[in-house]
Amino acid sequence: MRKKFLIFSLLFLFSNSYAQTILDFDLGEFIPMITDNLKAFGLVPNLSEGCDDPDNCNVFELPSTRAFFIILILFWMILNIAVGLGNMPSVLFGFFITSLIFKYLPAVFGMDVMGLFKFVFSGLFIFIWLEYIMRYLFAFSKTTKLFLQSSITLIAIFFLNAINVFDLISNWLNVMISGVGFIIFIVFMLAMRIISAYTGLLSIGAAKDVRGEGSTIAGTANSDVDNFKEGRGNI
Amino acid sequence: MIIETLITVLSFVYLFMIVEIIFSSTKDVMTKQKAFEGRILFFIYSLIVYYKDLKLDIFLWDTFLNEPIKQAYTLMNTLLESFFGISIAGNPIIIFAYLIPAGFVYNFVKYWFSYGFGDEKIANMISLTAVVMFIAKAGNLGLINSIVIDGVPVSGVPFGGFLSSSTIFYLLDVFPSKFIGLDTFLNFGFTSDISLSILMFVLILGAIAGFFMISRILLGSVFLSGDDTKKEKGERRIKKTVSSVSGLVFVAAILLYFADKFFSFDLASIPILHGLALPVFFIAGLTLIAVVADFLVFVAFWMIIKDINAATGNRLDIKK
Repeated sequence: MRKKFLIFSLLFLFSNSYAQTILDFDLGEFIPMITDNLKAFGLVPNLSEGCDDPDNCNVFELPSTRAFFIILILFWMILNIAVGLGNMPSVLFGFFITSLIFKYLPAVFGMDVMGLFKFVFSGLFIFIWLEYIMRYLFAFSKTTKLFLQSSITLIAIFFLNAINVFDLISNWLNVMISGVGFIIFIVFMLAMRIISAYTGLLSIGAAKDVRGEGSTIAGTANSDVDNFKEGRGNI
Repeated sequence: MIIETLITVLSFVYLFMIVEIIFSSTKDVMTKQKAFEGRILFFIYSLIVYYKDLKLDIFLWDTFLNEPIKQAYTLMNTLLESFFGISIAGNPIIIFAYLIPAGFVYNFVKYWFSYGFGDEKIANMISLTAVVMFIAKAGNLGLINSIVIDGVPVSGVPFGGFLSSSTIFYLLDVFPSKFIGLDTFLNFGFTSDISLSILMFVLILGAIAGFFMISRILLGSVFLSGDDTKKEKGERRIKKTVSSVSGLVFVAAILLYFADKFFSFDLASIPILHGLALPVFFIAGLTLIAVVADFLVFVAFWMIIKDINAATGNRLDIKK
């Protein structure tokens, strides 16, 4: 894969250089031609359309641009964490999906984007956090864990006003970024490292006990331990 | 045709490097710290080349390093203009106020959370939230934004105010003039005189600084890729190359000394040597900063992680 990518990129680079020198091909004219077509189709957003004065306009200061990037990060998060795509594919797909919404459903960017983000983030975070906590429940099957995770997440969102989770984390990050809280943050992270190392070793011991010889119940424990041995797991 | 091809290929390589530098910061401890310093050094150099139109009047250097860097930035400018309608030509504020801080916030939070919790998903979620908060607060980094250097507030600045457009270009404008002033005051003659002892000093200092800095630039460059074994091999090869090159410079300095002393060879007749003192001292200053940073990283991270590893039976490697 890597070699093929290298060969294709080199071919592209050399053909581009050949076209520029022999055929008087100008990349500076060619790129806008492609992006104009993409913008017309909706795969690339036309962010400057919200500007009052198009000649003297910083698109980053427009609320619609900020909303665009927040929705883009939301899709990135969902595709990366819930779907399990890699980092670059989720950014690319997220970009295309958000651009399409920007073109065909602009009403989305007029509503409370942060509210939408808070809602999705809280749900996803509770789901992932439960997965993190339930790593130690080796006697439970994968399906039971998933069932517990989903039901607790749904209860938290619809009955327990789980949007507080976002406020909690964002307040904490605010303190961390701006002031003495930075030192507290570093100390907390070092403490968490030691705690997670300790509980990780405990869970290895528990997994070994549960596995035993001839045990058939601990399918997840087996895969967790194997992952840990191969350096893939997070125990 | 061949030169144009090479310049185009190098432009694309440099473009990828610049983009990668912008979106990646501290990813690993110690081993990659040097690579990170090299990347930052290359990034600062590329900014100086593009925004200050740097030329060294050395044919190979200008053709295969400076020209492709300028073209890479032009290409990035074209892409940004046609995609988002923003231009970075003559105005680095987009890079400094938005792209680097966003990359820094993401990578910093992700690094610490994956270090503390050992869970990539949680780390990714929190770091993306940090980026969203950064965007929602219109690019405000809190305390860091309140740092003021010489009366100039450095807005949108990561790395404690060091890597800002105002700081870099301030240093670039002020450092040579301060250096010339200091030189005139102390009467060393680094910038005016080209006597043998000064040249020897400059060449030897250049060899020592090059030994530290060139290895960092090579470590941060495209040569190190692939799996760990390949990286280790590459690292060893880079160390060997750099030590032999700086050794050669050292030997050349001694040979030049003898040539001047015993064979009536006029060192001042070499035009490149006249402008050598300033860049060598600039690089030597950066080397000092890099070595101190290495030491701090070693004390702050490496020892703690080694302790934890020893306590947990060396099972927990440092993660990316």
